[in-house]
Amino acid sequence: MEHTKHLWRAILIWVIVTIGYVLARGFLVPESFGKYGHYRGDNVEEQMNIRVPRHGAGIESCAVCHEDKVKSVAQTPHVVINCETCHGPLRTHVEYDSIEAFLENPDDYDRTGPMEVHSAQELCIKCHDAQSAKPKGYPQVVVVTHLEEREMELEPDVCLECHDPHDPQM
Amino acid sequence: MKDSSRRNFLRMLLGTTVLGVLSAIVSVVLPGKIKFARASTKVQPEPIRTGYNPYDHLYSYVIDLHKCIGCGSCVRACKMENDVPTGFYRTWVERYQKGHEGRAKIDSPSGGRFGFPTSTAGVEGVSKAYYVPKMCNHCKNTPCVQVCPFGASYKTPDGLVLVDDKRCMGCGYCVQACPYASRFISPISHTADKCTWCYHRISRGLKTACVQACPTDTRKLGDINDRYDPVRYIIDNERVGVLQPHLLTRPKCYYIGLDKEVR
Repeated sequence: MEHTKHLWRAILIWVIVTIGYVLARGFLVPESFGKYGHYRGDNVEEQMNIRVPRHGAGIESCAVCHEDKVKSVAQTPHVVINCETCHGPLRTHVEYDSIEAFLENPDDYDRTGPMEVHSAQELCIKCHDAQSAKPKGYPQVVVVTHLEEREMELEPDVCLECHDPHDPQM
Repeated sequence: MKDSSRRNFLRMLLGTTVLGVLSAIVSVVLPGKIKFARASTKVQPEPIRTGYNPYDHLYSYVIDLHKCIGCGSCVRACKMENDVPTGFYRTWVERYQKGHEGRAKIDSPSGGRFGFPTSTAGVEGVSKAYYVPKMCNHCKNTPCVQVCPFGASYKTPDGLVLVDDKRCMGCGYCVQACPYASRFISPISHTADKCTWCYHRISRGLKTACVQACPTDTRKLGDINDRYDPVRYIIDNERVGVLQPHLLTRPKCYYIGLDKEVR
């Protein structure tokens, strides 16, 4: 068998290639690959914890402190609107990661940030400006003529002079 | 070979067969078994959300176009919740205006973020007009995941399409592949960015920012694995449409009252 050295050479090359492949794969493939599918499974958890929610859990979050307000709004058509739609995200207001963490620190109850409210002009008009694309039956006004009839000017809080956003029915 | 006999030939044949089988086993089975511990310098923060099993849920989204008033609250809420860079939108609202003749006039100033101006241009002859909120459809047959060369885009067991920003190289192939234009390359991270259906919120049992901000109940996110879920009821009982069904992407965003003009 004088040609066996060719065979051994081939086997050696194969062994080196295999070991190299196994090593490279071990280093390159993420540990959690294949946990849920053909991707790095750890990213699913990373996405869950990518940030603390900025908005609260809806009207219930606000009712923890502002129960009276929530109850009065509940009697009006504006009950369908989440508080944070107009007032901005809860977290910028209480400056805590969660309402639970906020409540655990009674000394900081007065350390609340400003609630981000747009000027009433922008906020009311965004929803109630008359536009052909809005659904029929949705309460909307032509702002220009609505103000002209009442001899008023378009100012930032002009809507609030007659209308209360927390009790819109007149 | 000098002593080439049948016996030697068979011996060689057997030897190579055994070697081949062995090599196949080694190269197929071993790589999956061997895991190399890499030095992890970063200590992972304690997971805030535990006990959430992605296999228990399958999310779907319903948008009722009869109700949308184009106020842009969803766009603003999404921006604030997810730190979406200026000029880019994970969700946006389009306004369609269409008459008997001609093409639909479509506009979306700032993604509808600040509402819509009272339209004066082309108002004559417009017989129907409506708003269409758009976002990632989280398709079942995703063109974006298919094209990703790095395996950074993926689908979760609960039906979301997400981007692993540690794997993404920002090549933008998925941005081109998405027929709904719902992806963009973030100017901050230089990776693909898109709607995640607020995965950090829904995995905590909260609503997505856009659903919560919607004042007219236009947007709804539901878990269709739950028999009594209102969204599942709507999909099962009402006439819902999807965007560009001819592409067979099988989106999980369902629209009530979809018009033929909407792409």
